Amino acid sequence: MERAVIIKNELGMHARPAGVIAKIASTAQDQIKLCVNSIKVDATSIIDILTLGAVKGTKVVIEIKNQEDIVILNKIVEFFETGFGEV
Amino acid sequence: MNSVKSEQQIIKGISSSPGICIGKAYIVDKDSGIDLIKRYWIDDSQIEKEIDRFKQAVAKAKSDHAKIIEALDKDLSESLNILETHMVLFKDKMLYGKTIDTISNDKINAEWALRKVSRKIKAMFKKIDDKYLQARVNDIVQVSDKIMSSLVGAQDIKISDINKRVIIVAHDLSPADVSQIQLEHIKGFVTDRGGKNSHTSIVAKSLKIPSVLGLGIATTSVKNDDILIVDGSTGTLIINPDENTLFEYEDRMAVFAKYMADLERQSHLPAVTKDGLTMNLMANIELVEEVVGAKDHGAKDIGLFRTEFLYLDLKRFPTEDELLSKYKELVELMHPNSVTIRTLDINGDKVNPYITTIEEANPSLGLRAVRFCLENEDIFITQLKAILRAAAFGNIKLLIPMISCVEEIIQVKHIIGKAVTELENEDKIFNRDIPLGAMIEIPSAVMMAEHFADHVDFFSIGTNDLIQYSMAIDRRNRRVAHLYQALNPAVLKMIKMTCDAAEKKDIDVVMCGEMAGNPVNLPVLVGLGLKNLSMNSASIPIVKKMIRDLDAEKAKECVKKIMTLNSVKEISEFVLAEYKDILPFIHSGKNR
Repeated sequence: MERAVIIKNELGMHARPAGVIAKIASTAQDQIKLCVNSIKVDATSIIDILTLGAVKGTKVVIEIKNQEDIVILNKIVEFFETGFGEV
Repeated sequence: MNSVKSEQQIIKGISSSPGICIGKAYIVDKDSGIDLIKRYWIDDSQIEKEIDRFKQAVAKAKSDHAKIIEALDKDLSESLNILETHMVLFKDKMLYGKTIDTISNDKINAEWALRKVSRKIKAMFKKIDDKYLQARVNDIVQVSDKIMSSLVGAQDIKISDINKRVIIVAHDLSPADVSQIQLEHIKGFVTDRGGKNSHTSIVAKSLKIPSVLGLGIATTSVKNDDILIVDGSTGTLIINPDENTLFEYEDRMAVFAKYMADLERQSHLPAVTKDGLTMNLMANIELVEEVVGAKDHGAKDIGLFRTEFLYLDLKRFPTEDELLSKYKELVELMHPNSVTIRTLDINGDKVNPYITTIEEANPSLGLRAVRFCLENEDIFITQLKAILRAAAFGNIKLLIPMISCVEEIIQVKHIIGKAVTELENEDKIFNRDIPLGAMIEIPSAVMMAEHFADHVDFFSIGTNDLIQYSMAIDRRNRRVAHLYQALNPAVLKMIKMTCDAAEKKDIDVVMCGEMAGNPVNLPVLVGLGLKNLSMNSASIPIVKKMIRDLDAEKAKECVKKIMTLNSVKEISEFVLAEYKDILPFIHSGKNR
């Protein structure tokens, strides 16, 4: 299962938001991935997320493996939609 | 082994600290500056232990980091955010997990594995287009550096781990790296970067390690275990010397050692000119450990204690008690003689990456020294409180660096007042009656010296920066380093103005720059009326000898003439001609 979001804040997906996402993702039952174009990274690793170099306007697909993680998926989507609290 | 005999090669660099040494080359990392990590293979049985060691290092770095967060003012939410992100980074899979994997897969020690992993991460970030996001790699570098220093610290290695008598060849060494050099293991060092008046050079002089800086191509020209001759006096590095050169330098080494021994034997004699003027020679130090050397060399007081080292060493802000224990140890060792403590002077090559992530285009013209302290009042108050408390145990003078205008002095005094109130409220033992001095190292301070004198008890002329700011040159930039001229007439006029202002207002004036430690400058300084000179302690014997041969009245007459000359060339030639009989033996190489 997956959902797509757009990065809204000026600075893009930098260290602080990446940290928040990794924190949320680390409570999941199974793997959570973030995908930009064809690149897929582990959502529990700040470093992996940062290497996406995702700037404002980038489309990010969040992917979960376990249906039980849908709550977490929603949380991450919400975090994206608030512009990481920076908009 | 490569059996081909290499040709002798001579490279000229910048003379840093005098002396000659001959030994084998020991190269430290070429690409990223200082990188003195141990690299070794481990076998299967050691993997678990090595991983444990890594985990412990992370745990320690993490808990140290947590303490910083705890101590942080909660109003600083921006930096708090980033520090909390760092907390999570310590255990990030890509860093933590990958390093553990690398230890067990590659069978290498933790430091090496961590370095490999962080290099890989750095390479990944290089591919990011967005400059801001690309720069986030710094967060990871900082975290991995913290783990590294905790790994290394636990074992007490770094430069101090090198246990053969070698000559270090490095791209660059920081003053902190140099201060770790253990004399019994390291004969000398050479670097590609750095200049005559860099802090690295200052520390090297104090430890009396022959060194040549600014060679440019040393790390690419030298191979490990090559035989090297380092001639710190002439700034020459000779790689794979032929037999004749070796013999020649062995002779020179002996002559130099004898000359230095003669000087040392006389270093207990008073610093009095031939016509009876007593000079006060003091030492500039950075480490409490340097007090022994300072006393051996005949320093009376500590004229400049640079306080940055503890901050750089801890890579965080020390607590008031940590600072107090260092300052107290120092003043007790020196008692009843005085110790002039200069407050934090963070800048350029001393910059601590953990203090700020903002990059300044011109750090030496940026938020440094007292400017930084006035912006970060809590950091400043912590240091001032430690100094005031240490003053209860000995004789302290307080020196504020980089004062550029009267308002700054007034602000500093206001903050000292706050520190005093806090100490009173906390019921601490302290001494508020300590002399306050301003560093005169900015041309604007020279112009306003007479006004400054109404607010402070003494001046300390910092010639290193004063020359740099007067001539508008970066003293570490090889291309303009020739303009770093202590005897430039403009510089001499500034020193004279400062001395005149101090005399008119009847306050003390000290010179604490490297200029005071060079015998050639002595006739001019004595002639200008300076009586208090503070220098690298290794220079004291040679300066003392010069003073004992000088006539102060004659020097005053000469200065009158010197002040009419209009170029550094004329002034140097005049001094050399006038004083050629008493200028000390200056070791000259055949390449000159």
